[in-house]
Parts: sequence; C-alpha cells; structure tokens
Amino acid sequence: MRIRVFIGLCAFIPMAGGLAYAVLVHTSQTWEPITEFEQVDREARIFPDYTGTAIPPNIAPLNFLIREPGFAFCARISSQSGERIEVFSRDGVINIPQKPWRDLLESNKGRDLQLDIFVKNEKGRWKHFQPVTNRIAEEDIDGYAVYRKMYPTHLRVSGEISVYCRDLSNFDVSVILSGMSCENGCLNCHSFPGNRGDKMLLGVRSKKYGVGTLLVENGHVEKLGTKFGYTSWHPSGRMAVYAVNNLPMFYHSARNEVRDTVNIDSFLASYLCEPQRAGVEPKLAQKDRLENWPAWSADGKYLYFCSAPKLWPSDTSKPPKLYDQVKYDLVRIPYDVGTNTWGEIETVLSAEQTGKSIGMPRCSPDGRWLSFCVFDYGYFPSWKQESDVYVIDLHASEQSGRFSYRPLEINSDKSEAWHSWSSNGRWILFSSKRLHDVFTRLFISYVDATGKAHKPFVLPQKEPRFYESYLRTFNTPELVTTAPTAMGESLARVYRAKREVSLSIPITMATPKQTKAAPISAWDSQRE
Amino acid sequence: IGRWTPYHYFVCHALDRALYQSGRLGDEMFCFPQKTAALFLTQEGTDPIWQKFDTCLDLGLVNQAENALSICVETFGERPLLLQRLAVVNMVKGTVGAARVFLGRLKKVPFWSSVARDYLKRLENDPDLSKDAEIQSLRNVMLHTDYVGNADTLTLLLTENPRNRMAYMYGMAWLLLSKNLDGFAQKFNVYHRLNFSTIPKHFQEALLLSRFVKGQSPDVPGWEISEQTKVQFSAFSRGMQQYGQNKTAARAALKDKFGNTYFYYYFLGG
Repeated sequence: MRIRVFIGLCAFIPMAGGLAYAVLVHTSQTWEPITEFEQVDREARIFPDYTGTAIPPNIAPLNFLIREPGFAFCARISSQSGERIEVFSRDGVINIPQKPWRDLLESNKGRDLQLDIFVKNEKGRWKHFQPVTNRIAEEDIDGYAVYRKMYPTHLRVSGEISVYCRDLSNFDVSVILSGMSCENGCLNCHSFPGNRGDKMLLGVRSKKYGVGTLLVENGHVEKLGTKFGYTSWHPSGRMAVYAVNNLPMFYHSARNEVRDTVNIDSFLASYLCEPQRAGVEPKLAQKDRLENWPAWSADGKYLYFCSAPKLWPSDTSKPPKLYDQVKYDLVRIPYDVGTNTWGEIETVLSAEQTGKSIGMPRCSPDGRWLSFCVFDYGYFPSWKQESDVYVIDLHASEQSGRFSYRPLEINSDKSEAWHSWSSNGRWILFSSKRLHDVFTRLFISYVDATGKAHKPFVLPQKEPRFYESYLRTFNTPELVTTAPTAMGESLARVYRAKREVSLSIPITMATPKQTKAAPISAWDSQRE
Repeated sequence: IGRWTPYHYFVCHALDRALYQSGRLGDEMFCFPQKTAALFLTQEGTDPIWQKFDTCLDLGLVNQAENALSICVETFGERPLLLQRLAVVNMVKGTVGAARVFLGRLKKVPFWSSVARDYLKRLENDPDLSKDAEIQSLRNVMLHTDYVGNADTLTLLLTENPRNRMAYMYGMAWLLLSKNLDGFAQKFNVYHRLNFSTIPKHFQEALLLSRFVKGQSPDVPGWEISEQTKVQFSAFSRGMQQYGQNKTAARAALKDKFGNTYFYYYFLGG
C-alpha cells in the first residue's frame, strides 16, 4: 500500500507541477510593445458599443470585445494625465484592470478618454484603428443601482424573480430579495426617497405568505400588511404615495411584443410614517378615472401622476374591448406635507395634446426636469415598442406658463422606459430593448446642464459577452447613493413571519366616494 | 404505436402531426384512436404544454408558439430544444437581436454549439433571412392579423392565406372530430380546390355523410366520390339499422369492417 501511494505521488507531483507551470506561463505571458503598425481608416468594431459617449468617473471598467478578425488584440486606454492602460488579449476580450481604470478616470474628470485598438493579423503585423473618444464627466453617478431581474414572461412560474443591488464602481451584485426565499414570490415596486438607500419600500406577494410591503429603515425591517404598487416616496421621507392596481396580462396573436397588460382599475393611496397609517385622498381615487404612476417633485410640493378615463365597467372582460383606446394624461396636484393637505389637480400634458398615452413620470432631484414615457395606448410603456422618453423643463415652464415637451436624445426604435435620475440630476438610468428586442437591458446616459442627453451606454458587465446569452430582462432600475441597509434573509424572514403592521385599506377595487376637498388631512376618507 | 396502444393524449397529437407531415391525415386519421382535445392539445388541466409549440409554429401561430416556449423555459429550464425553437421563432418575426441571445445561450450547451453556430452564420450571411428557405416558409404562413382573447385562429389563418395547407387540414380535422358536418362542408367548398385536386378518403366519407343527413344526392358537384366509399357507406348503413339503438352491440359488430372509417367515428366513436 505504501509503495502504491509513493508511486502515485511520484506520478502526481510532476503532473501537478507541469500544470502549475503551464498556468504560470499562460498568465505571465509578456507582450512585445507595439511600435509598428498599419493605420486603418475607421474605428474598430467593439461590443458593447462604448464609443462616443460620456461616462461617469466612478463607473466600473467598460470591458468590451473587439469584433475584428485577428490573432492578437490590444486596447490602449489613455487620457490627459495618469498612467496609460494597455490590455492584450488572444481572443479579443478586453478586461480592463479595475484599479488602474479607477485611477485614470478619477484623475481626468471632465476630459477625454481615448481608446486605441490594435489587431494583429495572420502575418504578425499590427493594425491600428482610428481612436475612439469618450468623455469622462465631472460628476459621479450614484454608487448603486437597484433593479429587478426576471424572465421576459413576467410570470411567477418558478420563482425566478429577484431584486438586486449592483455596485456601479465595480461588478459586485448583492441579492436584496429573491423570489425563491418567498416561495415563488413576486417582488416589485422597490422605491427609495431621494436616492437614499437607507430607506426602502418593497412590495412582495406569494401564494403561501400573502401580500405585504417591506419597509426598511436604517437596517430595521418591518412588514406592512398591504401590497404597494408603483410607489413614490415624498422627498421628506415622511410619507409615500402608492398605486393600487388590477393589472391582468394578456397576449397578442401577431404583434411583435407578445405580452400586454391593462389597468382595469386603480387609484392612489398614501402611506404616512408617523404614525403609520394609510389613507386615500378622494381626488386621487375617482371612480371614473384610472390613477397610476405617482412621482413626487424634487421639492415635494407636487405629486405628478397619470390619469385616464375609465372606459369599462368594473366587471369587464379581460382585456376590455376598449383596452387600446385608453390614453393617460400627465397631471399634478399640489401638496403640503406640513398640513397634509392637497390642492386641485392640474393637467400638465394631456393625451389629447400628444395623441398618445403618457406614463412613468419622474422628476430629476434638482427640480429641473420632468421625464416621462409616451406611447400609443395603455399604461405600461415597457411592452410598447414605440415607447420613448420625453422631458419637460420645469424651470422654463414656470416662467412661460406652458409645459413644452420634447423627446430626450436617448431613444431608439425599440421600447425605452423605467428611467431613474441620479441624485445630482446628471445621470439617467433607464431600460431599453434596443440591443436584444424582448430582453430589456439597462442603459446609462449623461444629461448635461442644458438638458441634452448624451449617447447612452449599456450597464457594463465583467464579461463583455454577458448580454449575448443572458435570458433575463432587467427592469425597474433605481439609482441610490448607498446600498440598502438590509438585504437577503433579513428581509425574507420578516416577510414570511406573521407579524405585520396593519394598514386599513380595503382590498377591493371599489374607489372611495368623491367628497368635497377637505382643508385638513384626507386620511380619514371613507370607502363605500 | 397508435394502433396498438390505447388512446393516449400526447401520442394522439404526435400521430396526427406525423400523418399530416406524410400527407395521410385526411386518409388515415380514423384508422387510429382520436380525441378532439389531442389535435391541438387543448385538454384543460393538463400540462406540460411544450408539445404545442411545433404545431403552432407550423400553422403560422408564431406568437402562440413564442409564448408557449417562453413559459416552458421558465418551467423546464433553458433546455436546448426550447432555445433552438425560440431562436427560430424570433428569426421568423424578425427580432434578430433576441434570436442572437437564444443562439448565444445555445452555443454554450454541449453538443448544440454547432447548431447555434450554423444559425448565427446564416444570420451573418443574410441578416434579414430573406433568402433562408426554412425561415421564409414559416414567414409565408405566419399570421399577421392581431387579436387578443379568444378567436377562431384557423379561420383567421385561412382568411389571410387560403393556401395555408396545414391550417386547412387541421381545421378540417377539427371539424370532423367535432362532428360539425355543416362547417366541414362549408370549408370544403371554399378552400379544398385551392389546396388539393383530389379528396382524401375521410373527407369523401364526411361529404357523403353530410349530404345523406340533408337528404341530398351522394354526388358532390365538381368532385368525384369513389364508388368504394359509396358502397362502404351503404354497407355501414345496413349494419347500423340491424342494431337500432343498441350502440354497444353495433360498436363491437362493426368495428372490424368499418372501424377505420369516418362513418364509424361519427355514429359510434369519439
């Protein structure tokens, strides 16, 4: 036995050593500096398209793939100051080392970033393509993006719906909550006040544990006993407005986008933190209207939302016959957080003016911009190929008395939606189907002081080919300055537990009787 | 298998597909056990549904196929068969970006890499696949009429493309299985000549039956019903009269001689 072990070891050690030697040789391969090359009169084809864009100085490395035929590849990244980065590769994959990248961007804010690409052909000669220039913005993007990932079906077939937190300065991803930990739960409508990660609302529902909304504040988690739909925190963090919806899904026989949804009935409700309670302002819950997509202004003085006439009875078929006739207006209502009083609803932009439907309004935190989606009908732009993001300059509107709107320069011929502003109002993170049709990906665009949005770029991944074979969609992105203070099992445990804060909002689709506007809080509205 | 095993939902469906693909559906479908729900896999409470997608795709119901396949991916996982089908569906629809993602994923599956590479090469050589025979044949039958909710999809397919032979044959098979002779005769009069120059055996039987029920002459204007069919029907009628209301006895007695006819199915089977 001992001899056999000895012989075995004698065979093994050289093999292991040989293997280690091979790995060492492979990783420590040195490349000759490129001193001679032919000039090619065009830019190299790279994927993803990280060319001619503006990037945050704190973004993770924009790893990419050089899509040119060749036997060796080199990417040289440089700016006005700092160490140049040079990456060689045998297969065209350029993985940029994180620290040198970070240092280079940090020391060149507001300057150009140049990318020189070289490809070696079969004769051993290098070709140099026209340099690519990106701009390093002065302003950082918020540190984290929170988003949901799921299959395009949007069904909870196998519990694969999860909400994640991505550190935008690198490739680290944490799971905030997985549907698997909630017995095939559906998670959505995560929201944060003022891009702050220390406070969060997250809606959860599952067959086994029912509906609920998790409230996370400074690491403490509790469950509210009702499901919040699309939610918007008041910037003060003292209250939030959320939609209560009935949103069945249905399918098209011949449209490019197979799936569709309709808002059968909805209204907006409010959640107040101190003391915890929910209520409904009658103006936000009119029986003959469908209210949806709440979004607070930066100063908290207005609640923007979308409102459409309800074209069918409550017991309508699904989908209703007129599902493609409903078009939403963009409206707003003044609010005083000190006295809990609401003003009168004012139309910002009507469906009649646009000829289309409006959805997903969002205000930039600097108070300057109001962005929203415009699409043919209904309430859900993500499933409308024609959906584009538009913007209103609120400062200009205040002066002129008119709400002029224009498309943001980020649109494509595919659906754009789910836009989220950074805390400094300079970056917008949004979803787009421009790359891969049914698979929504997240894009980042720089919005300068004039409101011009620069060419978007896809959220970078460690592996440049990541998106080419990834079958999930990204949606509901939110930019936050700090990571949420509780994640994973600490959330799941609270959701699964029976203990919850009771919020007495009836679960029916009946909307409250319309009453005259009361000068004091509307929290005590009665329901029929 | 169809002959020797008792009726089986999925076997019946696969059998009908095989009969259609070999041009024998109209002649031999009633030589085998048949159930209406098996033709399109519409039996409630049964899953999985993955077998539906090929039938949907071949008929031209591309979105239905896509939806069924997508749900299957979530139910069964990212199986290569499903990925390949979803790539084809998206190529047919022209959503090439999505097709590339499915092929990119398929490329990573052992033994399927070459299949994926082949499709990707086809996309590279012909980005809109206008010269691709497989994709073009599916695009030729693809439904373009958009609707939501329930609809008579086969009629829609035929209205858009009267020469959609599979839609015609499956529609007629459905009408035969449902014993809807009026509907059958109506569709025959509109679409048969566009797709065929002769009448399959079971169609002759059904036409004869339809005219008999209405007290019309056995000859279909413009078409020839074979003497054999007429003789067989006469013999079957005599046999049925012998047993009167006793269907159980009639079933047993007439099965050997007439069990492979539509007459038998209409009066004693189904």
